[in-house]
Amino acid sequence: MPLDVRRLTNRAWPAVLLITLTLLSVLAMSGAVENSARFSRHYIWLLVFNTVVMLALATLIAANLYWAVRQARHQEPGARLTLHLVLLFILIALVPVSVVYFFSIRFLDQGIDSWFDVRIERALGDALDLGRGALNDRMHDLQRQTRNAAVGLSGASDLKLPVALVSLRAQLQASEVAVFGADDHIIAASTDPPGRVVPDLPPADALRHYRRDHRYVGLEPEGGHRLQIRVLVAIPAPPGSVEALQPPRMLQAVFQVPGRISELASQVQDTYDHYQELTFLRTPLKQSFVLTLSLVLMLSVLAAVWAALYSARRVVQPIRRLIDAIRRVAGGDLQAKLPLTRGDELGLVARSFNEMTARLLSGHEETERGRRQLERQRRYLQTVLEHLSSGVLTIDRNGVLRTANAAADHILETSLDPFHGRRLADLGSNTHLIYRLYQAIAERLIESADSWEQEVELFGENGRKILICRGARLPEQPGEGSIGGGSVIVFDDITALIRAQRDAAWGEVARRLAHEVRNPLTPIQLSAERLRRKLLPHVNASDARMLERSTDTIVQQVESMKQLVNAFSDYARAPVMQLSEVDFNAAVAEVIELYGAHPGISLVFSPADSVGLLYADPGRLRQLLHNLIKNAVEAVKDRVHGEVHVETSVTERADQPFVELRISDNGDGIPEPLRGQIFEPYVSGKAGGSGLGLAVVKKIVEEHNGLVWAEPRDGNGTCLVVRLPRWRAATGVV
Amino acid sequence: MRLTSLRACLRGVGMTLGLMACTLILPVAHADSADFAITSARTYQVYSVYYLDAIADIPLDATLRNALTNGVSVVIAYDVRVVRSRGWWFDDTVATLTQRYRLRYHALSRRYLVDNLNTGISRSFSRLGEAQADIARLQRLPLLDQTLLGKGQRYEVDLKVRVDTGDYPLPLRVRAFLEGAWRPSSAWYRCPLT
Repeated sequence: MPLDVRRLTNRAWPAVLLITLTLLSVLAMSGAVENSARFSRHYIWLLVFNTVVMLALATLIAANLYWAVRQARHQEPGARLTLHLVLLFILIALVPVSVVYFFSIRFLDQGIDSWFDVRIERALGDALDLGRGALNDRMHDLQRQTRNAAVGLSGASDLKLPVALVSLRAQLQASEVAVFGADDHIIAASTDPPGRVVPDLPPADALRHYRRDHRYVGLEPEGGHRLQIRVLVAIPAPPGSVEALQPPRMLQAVFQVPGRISELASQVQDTYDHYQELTFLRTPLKQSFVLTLSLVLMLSVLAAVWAALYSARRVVQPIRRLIDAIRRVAGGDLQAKLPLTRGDELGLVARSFNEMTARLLSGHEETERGRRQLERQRRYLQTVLEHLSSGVLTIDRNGVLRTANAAADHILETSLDPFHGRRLADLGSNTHLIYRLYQAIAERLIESADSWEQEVELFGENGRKILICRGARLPEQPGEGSIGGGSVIVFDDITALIRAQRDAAWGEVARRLAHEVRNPLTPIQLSAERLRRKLLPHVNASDARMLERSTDTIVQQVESMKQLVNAFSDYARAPVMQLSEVDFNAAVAEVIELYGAHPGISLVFSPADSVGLLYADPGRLRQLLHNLIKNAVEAVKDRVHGEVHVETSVTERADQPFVELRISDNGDGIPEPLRGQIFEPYVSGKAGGSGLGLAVVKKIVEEHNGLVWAEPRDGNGTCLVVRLPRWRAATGVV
Repeated sequence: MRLTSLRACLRGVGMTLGLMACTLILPVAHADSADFAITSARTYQVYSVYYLDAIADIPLDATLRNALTNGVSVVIAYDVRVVRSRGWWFDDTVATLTQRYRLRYHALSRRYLVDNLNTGISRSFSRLGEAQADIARLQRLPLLDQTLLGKGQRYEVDLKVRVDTGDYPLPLRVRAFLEGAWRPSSAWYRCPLT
C-alpha cells in the first residue's frame, strides 16, 4: 500500500508526537543546564535530537503549507480561507511569544552578568595570594630547617646515613627524607610510613632548579586536596675532606602541609578556580541558555504554526464540505448530503442544506416522473404519427420545420430529416417537394384561421401529385424558446384516388357510349346501304352520284364510329390479365420490327442486357408498346429527319427494381395546355386522334402496377417513360 | 541594554539555525579537526602480557591554553583497540581501552597537574610543555593477556588521542560541538601486535 504523504502530513498525530518528543527533550535539556548529572552527559545528543525533531516538524509544517498554498492556487473550496486563518493564527501566536522571548533573553543576560563582581574576583585573588604567602613562609621556614639539618649530615658515612635520616625525619616532622648522590642515585631514605622502597623522586623541574641554585623549595599539589612541600638542599662536605672536591650530596625533604591549612588552601584554590571558570564560561553559558530558550521558542512557534494549520483546517473543513456539496448540487447531483456531526451553527447549516437537497430531490423526482410520462406520451404520439398514412408536418411560427412523420417523407418523396430545424422558406430549391408544398400553403400559415383545408397540386419524380392539406394552428405557449405556436399540417396524397375516380367515370362513359351508340350504328349502316340499293336504279345520273356519295359517307362515318365505339369498349373492358414471363427486350424489338419500314424515320433501339424478364400479360404489353411506338412514329412522320429512340434500362427505387422504357422523339412535343392531361381519355394532341391511345397505355401500365409519365426533351420532342416492376427470379415476386 | 538583548535574541535564533545546519553537516565538521597526531607506537610482550609504548603530538592551541589557565580542566584520552583484520569484512575488535589524563592548572602552586584517571596517580609540572610531554608519552600501558588471543591469528592495535569533550563543563560542550578547535583529535594509528 503506497504511503500517502499528504494524508500523513494532514493528520494530527505526527505533529503531536513530534511536539511531545521535543517538549520532553527540551525539559531534559533544561535539567542538563541545571547540571543534572543524568542529562548533562547527553546534553549534546539531546540538542541534536531536538534539532532533528524540530527539522522534522518544520518539514511537516512546510508540507502542510505547500498543500494549503497549492489548494489556494487551484481555487479549491476553502483553501484561501484556510490560508487567511493560518496567517491570523500565526500572527496571534508570534507576537506574545516574541515578546516573552525578548524579555527572557534580557533577564537572562542581566541575571548571569549579576553573578560576577570585580570585588569578589579581587577578593578571591587576594585570598589566593594570602594562602600562597602563608605557605611561602612555611616553605622558607622548612627550607631553613632542612638546610640546618643538612649541615648535621655533613661527613656522615653511607652506613650511618639511614639511621641518621630516621632521626632527622622525626626531627623535621617530614613525611620523607632522602639523600641523593652525585648522579641523583639514592643513597639513603626514610619514609613515613616506613617501608616504601623507593622514595618520591624529585620532578625534573625541581632538579633543574636545584642544579642551578643548589637549593629548591616548592609547593606541589597531590591528588585530592592534599599539598606537599618539597625541599632540596645540598649537604655540605666537611672542610678539607676529599668530598669537598666532589659535587655535594642532595638532601630531599618532603613535608605534608597540615590538614587544616591544606584544606583551607584547597578551598580557596577550588573557589578561585570555580570563579575563574565561571568567568571564563560566562559567554558560553549565556549562549547555552539562549540556545535552549531559542529551541523552546522555535518549538513554540512551530507548534503554533502547526496548530494554526490544523485548527484552520478543522474550522474550514465543514465549510469546504458545504461548498463541495453545493457544487455537486449545482452539477445536478441531488444526493449530496452533509454529515451531521456538530451541534453548532455549522451543524444547523448542514441540517438545513440536507433538508433543502431532500426537497430538491423530491421535486426533481416528481419532474422526472412527469418527464417520463410526457416522453411516453410523446412516443405514443410518435408511433401513431409514424403509422399514419397521412403526412404530418409541424411548422413553428417562424416557418421552421419541427416534426415530420414517415408518411410525409413518402408523400414528399424525400427524407425530411435534413430539413428539421430549418426555415422552409430558406430552402430555396425547387427540387424539394417540401419547399413547393410550403410555398403553396405559406399564405394559409400566415392567416389567422384556426384550421384550413387546401388542395395542392405538385409535380414530383413520379408525375403529378394532388395533395389534400388540412392545417390547424397550434396553441401558443408563453416562454422564451418554447416550441409552441405554428401549425400542424396533415396531408394525403389523393392522386391515385382522383385518378381512380376519373378512370371509373371515364370507364362508365365509355361503356355507356359503346352500349348506346353501337346499337343504332348497324341499322344506320344497313339503312344507308338499303337506300342506295333501292333508290340508285331509279334516279338520274347526277342524283345517283349524290346518293352514292352520301350513303358512302354515312357508311364510312358509321364504320368510323364503330371503331371509336370499339376503342371505348376496349378501354372500359374489365382487365382480365393473362400473366406470364415475358422477355421485355424481345417484346420491344418485336414491335419495333413492325415499324422499321417507315421511310425517313430513324428508329433506334438501345436495350440494356440486365433487363431480363417481366411478369406481364404479353398481349396487353404488346398493345402498350404498339400504342407508344405508333404515337412516337406519328409524332415525327412529318419531319425531314424523324428520330425515335427506344431505350430500356433497370433502376431501383426504395429497394424495388424497375424496368424502365424510354421512348423519345424529336417531334413537336406536347402542347403546353395538354401537359399533365395527355393520359386522360379523349385528350389528344393530334388531329383525328381518338384520345384513347395513351389512356389505354396508362391503364395497361397501372394494371401492371407501373408508372407512366411524359417528359419534355431538351430542344424539342417528347420522352415517354414507362416504369414497370421487374420480376424477381429468386422470390417470384413482382 | 535593549539593543544588547535584541542582539542576544538574534544570536540565539542564529545559533539555533546554526545548530540545525551543523546537525546536517556534522560528519564533515568532525573530519576537519584532526590536529593531534600519534608519532610512533609499538607493542611488546613481557611474559604473557602485551604492553604499548607510544609517543603522541598533542599541541594545545591558544583556545585550550586559555581555558586551562581559567580553571577549565582538559581531559586527553587515548583510545586503544586491539583488532583482528579479516580482510574481506570489517575488523573484529578484540579489546578496547581508554587511557585518560586530566590536565589542569593549580593556581595556588602555579603548577600544571596531570591526573591519570585510570590509576589515580597525579603528577605536577611547573611548565605546561612538561605536562603535555608527560601525557604525550605512553609507557608500558598493559593491553591484554596473550591467552585472550587466538593462535595463528594476526592482530593489530589501533590508537588515537583526542580531547574528551564529555568532561568539559556543560556550556563548553555546545561550543565544542560547534567549533573544531575545542575537540582536537588525531587520526587512527595502526601498529602490529607483537
